[in-house]
Amino acid sequence: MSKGIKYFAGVVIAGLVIYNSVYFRPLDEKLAEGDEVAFDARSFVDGIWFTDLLAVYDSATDVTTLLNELRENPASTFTDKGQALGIGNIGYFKVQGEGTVLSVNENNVLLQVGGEIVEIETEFIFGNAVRDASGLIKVNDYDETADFNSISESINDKIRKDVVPDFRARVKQGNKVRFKGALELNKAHLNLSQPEVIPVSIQIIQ
Amino acid sequence: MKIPAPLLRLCFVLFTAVLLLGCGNSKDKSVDQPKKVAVIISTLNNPWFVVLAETAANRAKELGYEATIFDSQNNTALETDHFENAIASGYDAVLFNPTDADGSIANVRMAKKAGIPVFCMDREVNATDAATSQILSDSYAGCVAIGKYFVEKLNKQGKYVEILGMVGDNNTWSRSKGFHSVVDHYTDLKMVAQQSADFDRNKAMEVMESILQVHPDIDGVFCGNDAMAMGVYQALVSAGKANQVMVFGFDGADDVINSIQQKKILATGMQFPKLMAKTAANYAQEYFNGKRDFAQKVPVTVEMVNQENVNEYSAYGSDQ
Repeated sequence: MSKGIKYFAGVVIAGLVIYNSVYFRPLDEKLAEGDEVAFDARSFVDGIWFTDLLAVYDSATDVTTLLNELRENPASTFTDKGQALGIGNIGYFKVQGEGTVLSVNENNVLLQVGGEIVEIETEFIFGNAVRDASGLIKVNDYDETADFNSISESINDKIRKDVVPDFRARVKQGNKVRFKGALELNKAHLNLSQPEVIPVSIQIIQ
Repeated sequence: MKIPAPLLRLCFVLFTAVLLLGCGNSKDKSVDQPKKVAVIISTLNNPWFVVLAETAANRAKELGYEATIFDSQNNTALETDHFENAIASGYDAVLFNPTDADGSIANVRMAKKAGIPVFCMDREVNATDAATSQILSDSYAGCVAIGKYFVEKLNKQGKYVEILGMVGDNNTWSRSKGFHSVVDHYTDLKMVAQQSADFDRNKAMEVMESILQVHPDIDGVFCGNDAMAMGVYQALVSAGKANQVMVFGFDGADDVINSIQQKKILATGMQFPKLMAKTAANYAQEYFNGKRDFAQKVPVTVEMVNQENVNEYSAYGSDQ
């Protein structure tokens, strides 16, 4: 065999070895392999909506009873019936009740519930009231605070899409309405006039 | 060579005496000297963090500890130096305001490895196995409230600008996400610019001046902290637009509470730096007393201060 053929064979073999030893892939593809499975808040909320979340709201306090207790003994009512995420003045409460529609407004529906006027939010369905009033979901169960916050976003999305539209389309002044929902209150700056309820369920019953 | 017995006895007595004296000194140090607490803060170039640092140090002193404040000047390398110094100097706990959610993890782990508990204040690190506990403002919820107020005040329409804080700080994104979780539902509210000013007042003023050159017709500005809100307001005053653009901040700092009263700034999210700092110092005391089962994250609620309720609040939540 001539030297030229030997060199050529050597170069081919070396090329094959190097070609099969080294390969290039897009960085984002490689990084994606190492990613943990992203938390899917929407699936999580769909999974707990009927079995857990709505179930705990079945035991919500009557809204007029709660407001009276808060007027008489705010500190112990916050402790006994409120839920708090951590340290601070904000407390969340599960409430339910029946009332008559006083007015249907751009952002809410006002109800007369016993001697109280209660505002059912239909536009500004935001924040953590429903998640935190439930007492079901704890911040320390989630490594990522963003995952914990995304649960509230998914709960609020569900309320905006599944709870509010049908009610808004049919509700009229004078209707009788039954509701369950969450209330956010500040114990240092307690304002009990026209409390704002984020509904988890609301039906026109008459 | 044989050593005489008396000399051997003398050596034994001297050796025993040295050992006993040594033990005695060690005991004196642990019993008589107060515990040392390091307060390591991301920056002292912002009054809000000065309040956080001083309250933490003062509370630690009230509890009978020595306390020293270290300024990281928003520099993780300097922060590392502070941790190394704290460990080498025999500090017993660190009350910590991190510079960077990811970049500060190694510093917390270094202290943990040395057996020193770290209690994060206001800002978190992106690890749940490093700090002993993290006492954090619920920035997301605070900015949800500001987002709702923003939408109401701008009547669901208009052009706006967002000034972000430091991009490496989780609070920057918690605040931004809380705000956008509301505002993004309103398609007639258009964000024309989003830029970082690193939580810095002067930088925010410069950034806003540049943005106004391109977008002179904005209706609102949401800022990730109060220092930037004040910088933005200054830029708007210089451009003659202070009366037509609504500015929103976050922190509850002294000058912004005054500015809300004077209707220069529309609203802010009241954080409670004194509450967080005192809680961190109290946790250090509980740790020294033997407690180990701390919650990893302890959220502290944020309350919106606006045109309607500003008279109920004082700067930094000072009643807390």
